[in-house]
Amino acid sequence: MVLRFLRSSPSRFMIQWLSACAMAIWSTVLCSPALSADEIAIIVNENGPLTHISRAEVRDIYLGEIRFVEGFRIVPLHCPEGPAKHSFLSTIIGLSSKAYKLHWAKKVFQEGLTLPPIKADPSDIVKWVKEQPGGIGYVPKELAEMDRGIRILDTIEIIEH
Amino acid sequence: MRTVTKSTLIRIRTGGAQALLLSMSLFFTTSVMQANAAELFNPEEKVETQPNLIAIQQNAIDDMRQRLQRLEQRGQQGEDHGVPTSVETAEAIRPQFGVNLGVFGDINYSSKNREREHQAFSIGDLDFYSTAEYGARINLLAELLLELEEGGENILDLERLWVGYTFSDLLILRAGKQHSALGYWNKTYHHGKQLFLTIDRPFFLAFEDDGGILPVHIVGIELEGAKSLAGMRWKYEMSLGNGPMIDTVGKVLIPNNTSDNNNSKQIVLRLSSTPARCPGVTLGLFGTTYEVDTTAKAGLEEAILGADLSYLNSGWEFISEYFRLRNSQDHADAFYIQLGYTLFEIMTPYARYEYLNLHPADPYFMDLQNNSDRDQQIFGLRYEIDHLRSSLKVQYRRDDKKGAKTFNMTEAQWSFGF
Repeated sequence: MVLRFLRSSPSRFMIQWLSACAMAIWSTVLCSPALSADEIAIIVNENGPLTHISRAEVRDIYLGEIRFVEGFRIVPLHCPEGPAKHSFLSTIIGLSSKAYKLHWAKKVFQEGLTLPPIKADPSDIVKWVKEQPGGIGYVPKELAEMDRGIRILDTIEIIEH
Repeated sequence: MRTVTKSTLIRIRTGGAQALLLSMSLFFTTSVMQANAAELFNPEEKVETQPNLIAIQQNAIDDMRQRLQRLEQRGQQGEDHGVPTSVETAEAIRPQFGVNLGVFGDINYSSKNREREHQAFSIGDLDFYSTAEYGARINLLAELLLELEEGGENILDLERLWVGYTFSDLLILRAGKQHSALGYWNKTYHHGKQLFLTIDRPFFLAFEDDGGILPVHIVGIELEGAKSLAGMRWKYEMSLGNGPMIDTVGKVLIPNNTSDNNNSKQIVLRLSSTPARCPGVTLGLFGTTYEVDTTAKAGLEEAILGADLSYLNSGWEFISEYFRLRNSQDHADAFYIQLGYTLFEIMTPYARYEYLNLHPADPYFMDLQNNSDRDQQIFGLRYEIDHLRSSLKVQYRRDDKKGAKTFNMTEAQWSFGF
C-alpha cells in the first residue's frame, strides 16, 4: 500500500517538490552569509594543471593576471557576496570586495577581459571544477572533503564581518 | 567536416591511449606470470614480491588513467574552443559585439580657467565601449567617443579598436588602435573619468586633440606578456606602429590612424614588475622613439624615456611618473605625483602636483600648444555615490604657466559608468 502511494503521480510530485526544497535549503544554508562553514577550501581539478600552485598564483589567477597554465584556460569561480567571499578576498587577494570590483572594472576596460563567473550553489562550483581541468574555486571545507575528483589546495578560516 | 575530423582525431588519440593502457596491463600480467613462475622456485620471496608488484601495477594504471583523463579533457576543451558543436552553433554565430556594452560620462562645473573665459557647466565626452570574447583566446575591444565641441558641433572619435589573440600568458598579440604603453596612467586609464581618482588626467598626459604633448595613441601591433620569476611578476608591453604627426596650424599632435606621413615607425616598450610580497606596488620603465616633421626641423627624431611607480592597496593610491623628452637639439622633463587615501570606503581626499619644464626653442614644443613651463597643484575630495558606478569630485586647482596668467579654480564633476 505504501509502495502504491509512493508510485502515484501526486505523491511523486510531492517527493520531487520536497527534494527540491531540501536542495534549496541546503544550498541556502551553505551560501548564507549568516550561516556558513568555519573554513573554506580552495579547490582545483585533481588531474588539472593547478594542483601545486602557490597562494600568490591563486591571487594572480583571481586578478586576471594568470589566464593559461600548461595550455589550459584557467577559469576561477566565485560564490556570491557573503563571509566566504569576503574571507577569500581579504585573505588571498588582499583586497576588499569593493576594491576587487574596481580592479576588474579597470581590467575589463583596459584589456577587454571577462569577470570571473559567480555560482550561487557551492555544489555547482565543485561540479565545475571536477569537469574543467583549469577550474578553480572555493567552497565550504566539509563539502570539498566529501567529493572525489577535486584537490584541496589550501584552506582559510572564515572571517565574520 | 572539420568537427568530424577533430572528433575522429580525439577518438583516435583516446583510442590510442586505451590501447596503450591495454598493452601495459598485458605487460604487467606477463610480469605477474613470470613472477608466479619464479615463486615456484623461491617460495620465500613470494610474500615480499607480490605486494610490490601489485603496488607498481596499481600506480601504473592510476598514472595511465590520469593521462587518459587529461587527454580526453584536453580534447574536449580543444573541441569546445576550436569548432563549436551543433548545440553551441546557434550561440557561436550570434554577434558578440555589444553583449558587454558600457558607457562612461561626466557632467562638470568649473570656475573661469585657461580654457574657458567664464565659469560654466559642461557636458563631458560620452564614452561608449564594448568588449567581446570568443573562445579562450580571441577578444576585441572598441571604444567610441562622442565629443561635444564648443559651437554645438558633435564629433565621433574612434579612440580604441583592437582585436587580440592570446597564445599564452607570455604572448598576447593585439592589432589596431590602442593606448601606447607610455607609463602607468596612459595604459591603465582611458576616457572613463569615473575610474580616475581626480577630475582629469595630468595636463601633459592630455589626449593629442586636447593639447597633449605625448603620443598617447598608437595604430599598429602590440605584444604583451607576463611571467612570475624570482618573487616578482614581470610584464612587458611592446608596440610597433605609425608615429604621430604635428598639425602646425592647429598646434596639436595627430595620431596617424589611416596612413603614415613617413616610413619611420614608432616603437614603444614598457617593462614593469610587481613584487609578490608587496601586492599593489608596480615599478615600470618605458621608452619610445618616433619621427615627426616640425617647422624648425623635418624628420625630427623624438625619444621619450621614463619611469613609473605606483601603489594601490589598503585604501592608498599613490602614482608617480617621470618623463624625459629628448631630440637632437633639446630636451624637456615632466612628472606628476598623486596621493589619495580612502576613508570609510566612500571618501577619498587627494592631492596631485604636475610639472613640465622645457626650453621654448625646443623644435618639438614650438609647434605644440603646451610650449612653456607649467605646473599645477590640485587638492580635492572624491565621494562615492556608488563605488563602481558613480562619484562626485570637488577640487581646487592652481594652474601656473610661465609668461601667462595664473588661475585658481574650483571644479566639480559628477562622473558615472554603466
